[in-house]
Amino acid sequence: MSTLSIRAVEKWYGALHVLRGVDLDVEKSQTVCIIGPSGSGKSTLLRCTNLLVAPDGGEILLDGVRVNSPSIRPEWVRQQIGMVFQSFHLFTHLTALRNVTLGLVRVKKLDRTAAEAKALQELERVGLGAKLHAYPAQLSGGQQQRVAIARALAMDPKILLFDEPTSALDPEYIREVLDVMAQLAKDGMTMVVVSHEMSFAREVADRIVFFDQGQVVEQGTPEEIFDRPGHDRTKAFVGKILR
Amino acid sequence: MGATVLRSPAVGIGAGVAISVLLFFALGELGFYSLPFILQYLPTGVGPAEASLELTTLSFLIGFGLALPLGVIRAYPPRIVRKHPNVPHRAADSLPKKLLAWPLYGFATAYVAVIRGTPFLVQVFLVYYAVIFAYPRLMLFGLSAPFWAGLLALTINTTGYQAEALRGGFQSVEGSQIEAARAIGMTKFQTFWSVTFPQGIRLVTLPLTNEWISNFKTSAILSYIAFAELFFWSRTYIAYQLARPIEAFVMIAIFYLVINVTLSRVVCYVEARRRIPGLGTQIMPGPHRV
Repeated sequence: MSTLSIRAVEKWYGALHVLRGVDLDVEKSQTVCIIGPSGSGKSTLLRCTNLLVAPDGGEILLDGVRVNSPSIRPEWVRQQIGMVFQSFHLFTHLTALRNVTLGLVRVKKLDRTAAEAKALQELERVGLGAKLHAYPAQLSGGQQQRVAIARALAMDPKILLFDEPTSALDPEYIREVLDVMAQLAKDGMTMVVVSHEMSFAREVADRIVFFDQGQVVEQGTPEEIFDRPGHDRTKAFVGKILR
Repeated sequence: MGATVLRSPAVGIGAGVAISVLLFFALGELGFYSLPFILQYLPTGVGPAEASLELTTLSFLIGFGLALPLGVIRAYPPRIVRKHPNVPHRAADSLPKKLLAWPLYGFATAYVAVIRGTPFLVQVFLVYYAVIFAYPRLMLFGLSAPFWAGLLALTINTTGYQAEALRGGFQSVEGSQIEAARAIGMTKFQTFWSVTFPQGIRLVTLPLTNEWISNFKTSAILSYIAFAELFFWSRTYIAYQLARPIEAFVMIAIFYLVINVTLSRVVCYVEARRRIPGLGTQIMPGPHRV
């Protein structure tokens, strides 16, 4: 059974048909990389997956359980499915440590000591044990994104979604974030990553999904997609990003 | 650098105070008003000034408590779900939620509109007559009708303005902050108390300070219902009884100016001390804003 199964998911924004029956499976401890042109619905797919926006049709299955159902609280689902955003979205009024403990205290109902111990562990995991009391504005983009990863990890999610995690970063900070993500993959984290970082996609991803016009066009191993794309649209797109 | 020195707050305040004091003495020497008279009678205004300050602060604090729920209601208007022919049916708000949300929102909006849309003078008289008709011999904690009517009117008024300031504060918290909170599984309520509220309050410090100052100056109107505050003192005692109308206005200006400048300095100082880097607009220290 797949950790995450997306079945025929549909999403409309007004008259705009953003997701047109998307199917996607992610196995446990797999890293899946989604590539595709901007505006193709990649971000919307991630947001539908953790129910930040409600899908208009189809099913999201987490360990075989349908979670986009009225009988399941979306807050519970979001706790199971972590998300890392393009522009970090750290809480600007909280220090790095408090950014991580907030969810532990409010959602997981840990007491302050336990929450801080857990937060410290996750921040050390992303290499930021020394920046506990810095506010987001005092951290570099790379450090902010690593705090955001620690914040998501602290909730012990079954799966982590990354929405273009390095697109808002200055070039010199991209590597440190990708290294953290590669380490997570090695540690067996299940991940769905929307990213055009070729080095990461080639070395870390188990599978590449080419997404266009609200649909999965083609998927396969990095070699299959990058070296022998089958579909014309994939060929055109891969040609552009590899150039 | 020269520019840095000029922008330093201490220099700005020092220059402002020096110029004001110079102007004050110069106009006195020129005979616009009697300096010895002002200096002699200024202390008689301390009691009324305290009354003004107490009433303003009390009404401001009560008003904040009342404005908070109003601001929240105003910040989250009930949804209107528009159906689109292509889009599958999407759940609208449930009926009980709708029945509660619309009247609340309607009330809050009407309240703010009426308070901001009518002169305070009118509000004061309406409240005063209502109080006088209901309790002709009102006396509570040794305080009589003018005080209670004044407190009530000022509270009703500042509540409307503070509610609108708070609404603005809550709505200017970035959507990404709320998305982040929702993404770690926080409920709407938790998101409000842990993210929107603390950030919104910081964004609204300056507007609320302005509202306190405005409230303080507005309290002068309470002199028309014979509440013994600053303006009442200067009008009845200095202007009429002692027949010194020009001095009366100069003296009242001194009181208001000193109190307002002091308060805004204190807020600047506290705000700078408790400031979180990267959050909110800084209250400009120095000559740019007093």
